[in-house]
Amino acid sequence: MAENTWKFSQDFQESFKISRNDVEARMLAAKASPPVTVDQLQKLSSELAALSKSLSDSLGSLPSYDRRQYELQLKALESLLEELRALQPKTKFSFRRKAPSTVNPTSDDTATQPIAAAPSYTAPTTRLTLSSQETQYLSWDDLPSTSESSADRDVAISDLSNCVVDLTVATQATSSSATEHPNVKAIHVKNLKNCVLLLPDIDGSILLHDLVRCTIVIGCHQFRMHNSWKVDVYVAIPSNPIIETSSDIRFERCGPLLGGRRSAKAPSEPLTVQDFSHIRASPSPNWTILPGHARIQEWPVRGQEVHNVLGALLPTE
Amino acid sequence: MGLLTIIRKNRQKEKEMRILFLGLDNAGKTTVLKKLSGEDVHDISPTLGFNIKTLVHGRYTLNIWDVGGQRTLRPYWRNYFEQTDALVWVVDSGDRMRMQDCKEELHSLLLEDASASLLVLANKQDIRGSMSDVEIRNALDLRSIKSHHWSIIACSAVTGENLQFGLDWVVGDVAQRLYYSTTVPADDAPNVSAPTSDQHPPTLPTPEVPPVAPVQ
Repeated sequence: MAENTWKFSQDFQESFKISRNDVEARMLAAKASPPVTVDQLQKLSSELAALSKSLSDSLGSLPSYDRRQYELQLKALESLLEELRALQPKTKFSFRRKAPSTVNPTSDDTATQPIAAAPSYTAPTTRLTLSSQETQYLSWDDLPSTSESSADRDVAISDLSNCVVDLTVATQATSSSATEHPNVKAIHVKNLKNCVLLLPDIDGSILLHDLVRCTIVIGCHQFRMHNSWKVDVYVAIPSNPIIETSSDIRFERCGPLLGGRRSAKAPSEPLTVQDFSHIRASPSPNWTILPGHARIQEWPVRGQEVHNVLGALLPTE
Repeated sequence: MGLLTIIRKNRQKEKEMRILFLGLDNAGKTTVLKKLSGEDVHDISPTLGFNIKTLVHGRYTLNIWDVGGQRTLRPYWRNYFEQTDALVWVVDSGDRMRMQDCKEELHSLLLEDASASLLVLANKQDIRGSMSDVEIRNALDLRSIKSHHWSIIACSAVTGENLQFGLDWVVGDVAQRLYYSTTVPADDAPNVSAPTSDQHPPTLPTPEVPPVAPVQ
């Protein structure tokens, strides 16, 4: 009996050692040449499981010191396997253990590039764009008329020089044609030179880039201007206007201008402008409040020559 | 126990995710965040520094960082990358003029950002004339992205359309990666609980080189 046990433990030691060394060698090899594939990992892990099962099956017949040694060796292998798991490419994890798809129709795809998830919106065919004009008087008549006048729209104005753009909501004679104007929600402006922009009160933001010597009248929630020079801004706004890499910009809160066509909804405290090109305690040299003498009192717009309007409203050169 | 295992176990206890909202200025990042937390979205000022909000979404606590997108602020974005689990890139779908800029900023960001989940929000779909999610996917060349798990979702921060859907995708994607062993079906419908909120003043390090004034 004692001899049998002795023989068994000798045999077990032999076979355990062989399988253990084999598994360990392959784990080390795998570790030395990442990435570790899922197949490799699964194979190693099932072999390790078989090894630990053979040990637990034989526990009763093994001396306690040997048992301890075997268990320690298995533990070492397990931690090695854990390290290998860590070496796996991350994305492999996400689909190897595929979690029950929650609200995520896109990640069923095993690739790293799910397809667009949400239903696409159909882009309207007409875009409200004023661009590439010179010495023109531009108004709503120059924008494509839209069938859905009630929808919120985005207006883009770009590449103009020596133009007057008047998109204020007309209350005078010219509006007798009774065309409804779309509700402008956002305005994007880029690359204007020597232009006057008379824009409506919008329930959104305006973003301006690359303006040189312009005058702007606008009512909006947010105002951001970039890379511009020598611009006079009359603005009705509840937040602080932002300027960045701009200089020689003059601001004024716009009250009831333009013959009552604009409501003064702005707070009465003095306007503060955030200059992101001057993040310090000292006042920014890039903007000022428009001095009283330079403020426009009369807005001669409709029915005037473009040159006269520009001459009267643009900042002096 | 490997280091990753320890980290994972640690995370399991916390069930926290850190999500970073980035994008060009005027994209609507703060509006998305405020709408998600049920706040008024009509009096938002451009973000000077950053906002943090903590939302409870299903079984997870989300720490959302919303960092200002002005060009001057963009070099500081990388300061927020550490330990970020997901990046939400918010796009002004009406800003056709800056799509190229938007694409470049995104792709250069992805070179440095280590978080593996990227959600692109094609925001401002409530405004007619905005680009569709498909158009934006092409304009931003999303299909070339191999380093991140990504998705694009058309949404409107003003109406709230698809915002929860987008958040569900982000949380699901991060959960699969970090908590893959513990993900369960979303029987508990995501709900947004009362958020905590702070508006932080700008805490910008002084730039080494003063910003340059434009050439006049």
